[in-house]
Amino acid sequence: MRPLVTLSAVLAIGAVATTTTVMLWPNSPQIADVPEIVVIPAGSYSYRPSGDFRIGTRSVDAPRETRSANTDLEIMKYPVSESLYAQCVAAAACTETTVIGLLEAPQTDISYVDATSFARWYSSMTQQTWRLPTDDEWVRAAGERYVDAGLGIDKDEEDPSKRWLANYRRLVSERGDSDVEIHPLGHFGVNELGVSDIAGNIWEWTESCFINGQVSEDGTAVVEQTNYCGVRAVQGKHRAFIIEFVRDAKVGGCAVGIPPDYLGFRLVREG
Amino acid sequence: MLTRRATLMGAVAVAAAPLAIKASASEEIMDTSGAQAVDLSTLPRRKVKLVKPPFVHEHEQVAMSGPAVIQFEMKIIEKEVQVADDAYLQAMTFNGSMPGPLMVVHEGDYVELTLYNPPENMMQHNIDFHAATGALGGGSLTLVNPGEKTVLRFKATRPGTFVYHCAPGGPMIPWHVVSGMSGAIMVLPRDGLKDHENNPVSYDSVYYIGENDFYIPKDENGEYMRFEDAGDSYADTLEVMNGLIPTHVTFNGKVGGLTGDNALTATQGEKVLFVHSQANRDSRPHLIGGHGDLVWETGKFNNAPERDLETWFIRGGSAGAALYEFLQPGVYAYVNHNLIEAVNLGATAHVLVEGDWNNDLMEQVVAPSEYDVMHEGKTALP
Repeated sequence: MRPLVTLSAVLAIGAVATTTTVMLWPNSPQIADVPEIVVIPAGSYSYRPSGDFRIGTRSVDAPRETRSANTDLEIMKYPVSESLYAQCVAAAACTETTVIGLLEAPQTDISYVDATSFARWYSSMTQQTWRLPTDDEWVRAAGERYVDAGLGIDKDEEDPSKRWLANYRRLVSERGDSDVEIHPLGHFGVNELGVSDIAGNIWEWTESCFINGQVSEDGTAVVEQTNYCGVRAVQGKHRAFIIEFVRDAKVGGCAVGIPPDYLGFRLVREG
Repeated sequence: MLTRRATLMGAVAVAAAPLAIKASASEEIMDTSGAQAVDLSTLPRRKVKLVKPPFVHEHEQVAMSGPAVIQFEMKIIEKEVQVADDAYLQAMTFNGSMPGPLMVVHEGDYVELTLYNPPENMMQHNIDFHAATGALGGGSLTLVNPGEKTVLRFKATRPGTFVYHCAPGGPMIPWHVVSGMSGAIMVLPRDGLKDHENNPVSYDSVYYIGENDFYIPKDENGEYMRFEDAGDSYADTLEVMNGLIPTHVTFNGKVGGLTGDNALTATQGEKVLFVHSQANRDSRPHLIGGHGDLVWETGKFNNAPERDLETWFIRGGSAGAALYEFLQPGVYAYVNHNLIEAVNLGATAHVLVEGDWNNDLMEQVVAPSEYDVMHEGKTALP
């Protein structure tokens, strides 16, 4: 069972925060009861890098790579809940954001800045290293719920409008209708690895930056890349890139894109 | 005990009463039975079935025969409609859609509309055609109670695109309009459209974009309120309306009404006529990545069209028309270029255009890539 956060714990942390103006990280764990973790075993997995990839000047799908992970991955079974995030807010280590008042609901309206602030605070409270997953770690944890970002357009297709239209149509068909109700944790069920709520109506922040990459002539390998970290990949029913201070991507999307319903996050623990 | 309907009808009468003097004309119910009869028995009569926007019923661009009586039917539907993912409207509609259907006739034709107000409705309605002459555009001849029908005939004397809307008197007028009761009619010149040099022009297809502004109240938690029926929503809605800031500005009746699965389609080389109406509020259509080749901004075809427009102005209470030939394939966004309204409030449509990319019109010469900061970019600034 997932540990429930008690009200007294929230108040206790709040009291610490209000009596100190400078943030003092504790030397011993202040939170021992960490949320349920799923271990994704080491091994190989299929992945496409995140960003814009070209052969010369022609946009192509990122190459589908088989990657190999040498270590197990420990990831939260559920997205970070309102109750957990509320502790960080009470400790003045996180910025307040929208709540729906359901403690066992995922915390939404989270920016990349919010998510990483939480991870820093949570690491200090637990005396463990917690951080956002990278895009490919998220893909490992998503298992069969990972939606391959490839458009399946021939790499030799010369006409840019074909990719553009295909991308629009793919987004429409994969996304379906948006779901604006925030559901309790567990609503979208577990995948075959035991990770819950992957690719529901919450897109999850990852550490990964936008990559501008050059692909080999045969389309199989990234030969050169530049990272742009003002935006980060968020993962869910599709991969989107969101500016790090945006909490609600529903409004303010670009003219012809289809934005995520909600932004939230879950963390991985480093061994 | 009073039923909800009886209460509401009472409220309508009370609300309208104080306006009886300063706006007496709008309260006037008249009939034309005493006037001299017109004999139209020699004219052909043709029935046309209206279709749901953004589509338009089949029609001739150049009239192949003389004036006729064109018969239309519309049923007024009051129903709750989802206008955004998280917002519902107690809508009032002409023929069940927002906007109401686009009617197309030719100059000199007679428009004969049978208007039904079904018994399950709660309110009185009527129709005011900006294309018509007299009797408040037909408004004072067409006020129908639930369970009633009426037939209005008017002569289409002026070619152009014109708004029609419900105008049942007093404060009911703006409320019915922002609840969805507006649409448009296009009166084509008998010999079709003409360009700026008076040469004939035609279109391959026509899309009707009806823009609506909605004013949906929020509760104390900031959530959009949902109401049992239209009457229930009136007081809270009026408060938002009087602030003049809409909560939603939509094409085809809902946020996303013309995007995604509902996106418009065209092919390269296709000439598309966009008819755009806004019954209540100003708008400024803009086709991102395209233009208006020929634009009848005020919608009236006796005026020469403007050419090569980037954005055109639709005055609240009017309909305009813009003809564009799609030259390049890809995704286009047709927006209200108040971009806050387009992106945040909903006034965006997408057009998916198939074809072959033309690098002569546009080419990405250098794809986004890192540059050498030490040596490049020094010549850009003055």
